[in-house]
Amino acid sequence: MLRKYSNHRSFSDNIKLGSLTAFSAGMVNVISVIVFFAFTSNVTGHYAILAQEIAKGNWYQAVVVFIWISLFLIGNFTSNYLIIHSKNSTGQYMAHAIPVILEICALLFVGAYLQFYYSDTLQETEILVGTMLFAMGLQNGLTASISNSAVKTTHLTGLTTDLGILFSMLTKKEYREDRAVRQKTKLLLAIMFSYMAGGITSGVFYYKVGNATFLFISLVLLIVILYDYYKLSVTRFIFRRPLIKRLIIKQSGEQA
Amino acid sequence: MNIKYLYIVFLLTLVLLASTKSRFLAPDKLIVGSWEEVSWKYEKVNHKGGSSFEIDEKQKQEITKNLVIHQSETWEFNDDGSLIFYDGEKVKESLAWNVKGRGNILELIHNNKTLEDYEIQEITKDSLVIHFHSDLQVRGIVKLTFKRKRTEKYAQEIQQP
Repeated sequence: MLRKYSNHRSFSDNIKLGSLTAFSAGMVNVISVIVFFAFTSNVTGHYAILAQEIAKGNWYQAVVVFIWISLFLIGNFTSNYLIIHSKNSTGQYMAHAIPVILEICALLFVGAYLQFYYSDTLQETEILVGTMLFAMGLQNGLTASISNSAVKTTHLTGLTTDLGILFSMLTKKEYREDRAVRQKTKLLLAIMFSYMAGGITSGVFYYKVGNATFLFISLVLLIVILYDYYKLSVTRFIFRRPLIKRLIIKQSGEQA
Repeated sequence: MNIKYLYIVFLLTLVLLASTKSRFLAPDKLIVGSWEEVSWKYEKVNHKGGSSFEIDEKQKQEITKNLVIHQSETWEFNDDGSLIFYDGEKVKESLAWNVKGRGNILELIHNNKTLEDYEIQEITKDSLVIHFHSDLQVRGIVKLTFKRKRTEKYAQEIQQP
């Protein structure tokens, strides 16, 4: 899911990455609305709110929203910075895994703070919402960057637009027969349903287990990292076997 | 460009924004004090696209099934997070309050753990307008307007330079 970059990514890589990260984004967004009355996986609404608060002259709220948007942006920046500066394949895996690790840390911090220290003050709410927006920025920057913008999982505006376009394309036979169009439709539908499923799961979980929901979100993200680590280990193991290595080289030579 | 310098720029920007924010009075500080209810209105959008404040009894019952009716009350918000409803001089109820979101949601927590959420539509030193918050995409069903109650303590506070 995380090892490959840009055009080296397969449909299967994108669908796995998209589904799992969209599921976690859906969970994060719903839990933040339940606990803090603020969306944290998308910023379109925050831009509208920022404009509205400025128009009303509510400078305090305007600055708060501006800080939130900035944190989402810093998250995006951090992810892409790590990706474009990674060198070899192990470094690439690490560069892709670090944003997810940071995201897990941020979400665990929010969960732990809510569980042990939160006293319902506005300042705490502002900081925790900001942390969640930073986490979502990290995730969105990572998925969009490594998938060449094919996977964006924290907001569904663009996705819904693309789906509308794709559905209209599927009314023509030539597009229905186009594998790329069919795969893109499947990918977007997978992201959409995963996001929804994440949201519903979060709502149900929060009322049952409270702040432990953040542990579950972290577990989903951990699967993303560990799955790729496992794949990377298997690939290395195979390439260390001299016979298999010779066979692969021979096979690739024959194909050429 | 060195990444360290970029993060220092980000950090400084955030510090600057946070210090700018601290120059303005936060809604949870502004709300502290006594507020006298001056009006209570039901709002709905009529079919012609305009706004009206008239609804029938059935609609009223449907809307208010999750809403505690507050009428002719004085709300006293204390900075320890407690809220007291007064009917004249008599204490009607004592409960807890907090402000959430970006300072736009007022949450009231009754002693029986019932929650009431209001969207703060306007808050100034003298007036407070809140809408009953029933759904994320729907607002303005019930509009409560308050004016600041001039107590001796408040008069002393505003006279201070």
